[in-house]
Amino acid sequence: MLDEDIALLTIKEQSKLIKDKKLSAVELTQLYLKRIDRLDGKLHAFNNVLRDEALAAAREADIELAAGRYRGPMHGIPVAAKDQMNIKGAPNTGGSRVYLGNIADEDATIIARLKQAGAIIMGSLATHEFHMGTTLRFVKEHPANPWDLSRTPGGSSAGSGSSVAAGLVSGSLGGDTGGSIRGPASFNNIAGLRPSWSLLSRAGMFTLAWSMDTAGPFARSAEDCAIMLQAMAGYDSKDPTTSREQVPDYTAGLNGNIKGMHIGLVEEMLVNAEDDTRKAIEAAVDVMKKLGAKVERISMPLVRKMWGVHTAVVDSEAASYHRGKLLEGRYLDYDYSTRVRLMVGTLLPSALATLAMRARAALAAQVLDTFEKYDILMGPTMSGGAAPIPTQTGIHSKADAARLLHWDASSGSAGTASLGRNAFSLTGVPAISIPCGFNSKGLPMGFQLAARQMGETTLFRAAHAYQQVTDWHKKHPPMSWADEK
Amino acid sequence: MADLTKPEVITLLSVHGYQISEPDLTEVVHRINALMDSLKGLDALDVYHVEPWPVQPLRSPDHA
Repeated sequence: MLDEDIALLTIKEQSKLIKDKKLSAVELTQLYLKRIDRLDGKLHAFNNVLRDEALAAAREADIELAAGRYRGPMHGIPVAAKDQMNIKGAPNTGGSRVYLGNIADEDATIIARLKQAGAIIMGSLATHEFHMGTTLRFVKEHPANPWDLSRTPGGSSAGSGSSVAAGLVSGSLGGDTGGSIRGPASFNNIAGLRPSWSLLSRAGMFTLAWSMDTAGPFARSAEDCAIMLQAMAGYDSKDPTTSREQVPDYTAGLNGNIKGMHIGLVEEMLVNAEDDTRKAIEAAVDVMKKLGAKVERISMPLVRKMWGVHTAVVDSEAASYHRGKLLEGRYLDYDYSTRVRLMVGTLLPSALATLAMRARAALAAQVLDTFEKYDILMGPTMSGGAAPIPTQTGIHSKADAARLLHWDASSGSAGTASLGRNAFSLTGVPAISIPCGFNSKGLPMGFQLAARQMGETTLFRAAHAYQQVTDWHKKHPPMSWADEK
Repeated sequence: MADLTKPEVITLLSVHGYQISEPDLTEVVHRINALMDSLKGLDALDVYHVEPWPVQPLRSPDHA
């Protein structure tokens, strides 16, 4: 098998090779390090590569396996984490110049759990500053999309998406507040899961908006996301918001059978979708129907109102989180786009911020009511393929700012996110993006599936069944640019 | 309804101890006015009876 073929195998496939001792953790880690050396000079997916630490951990994994101690499907699997999560002894910048030189003194809980499961931590991955998703000036170069280097890999978990798509790691961790996992998953043709809020510990992670932030896995299949989630999920005394619910076996029900599953295709999420995206979603609906699911078009009118609500919640929570650094005089160390939004969050009157919270609670009630009838909600992840790498915010008037808020979809949308993406974040339900085709420019498109709170098992069942009968997720970026000077 | 002006934004931010200048100021003014308009649009939803809890209680049969 060629190195490239091994690099692009799923975690499940690599795991079997490692368990059967046909591939060692050291071989797999070295293979990825070589690919990082060869490709990341153009992708800029990594902020920091932990070369020596990864090789040492891989050697340890091989020694353990030789001694008969097998930790499970993450044993010897190389993964990397968004530069938002503490990796003991390594820098965690949050993607910001404000935290250059910040060295973590202990692992984030989810990193510790991945290590405990035998995973090899390869380093930290490029992110938009403090995960806002609108950064113009990154701490290193602007990350690029392996399908087209002139385009963004999405954000905020930019490197988490591109590194998995380009075969630099087996899987990665990202963070999702309003779609920062699902967006890059869609733009890079991989799977990305936003778990239920409170399923994963946030201890040891930088915050964007505490009431919506969650980490989550990126991988080359939904099943791999389930494997990664299994290693991390569950109560953590260091994060009192984590759920004490017993963690189910996420891979147990992945048998491809979704007969009788009730899926609602949310009309409002298609409002700003491009034609190619609509066609891809319709084709995905047909696949689900052929698998035996009952798919109905449904309306959730509040979804159309949520971009402004989401912005109000995120920007005001973030303004509070960063107040200390701003008062220290670090304003100009923040990226232009970040600091402008922090000022907006500071200025927002509390009566309007609370009104946004009321609308959010109304949406949550509507979503939960909908899940009384439907097992899964479905819609596009993004309106189209990846956009060119931005060089400015593009806001020159109040009307420009209003279009970014999607507050009146009839006036047109300046953004590329599906209207439903942040609606699921606001309500705390799990959602996964998986590939469903390519647009006329050859760029990947994805669709998202959401389930009720803590309904990840249902979510994985649906996504896995779709991937059992389609091969979009098996297509990888040709990367003809790899060896160009 | 009235928009915030640049001098008003400068004053409000100074209350917090912040000072900003151009080009940030112009964009902040555009963004805050657009956001407030967006949120005022929520008045039509009549959500004043809804308590603003950020997370709803679990109603999942998976965890019943």
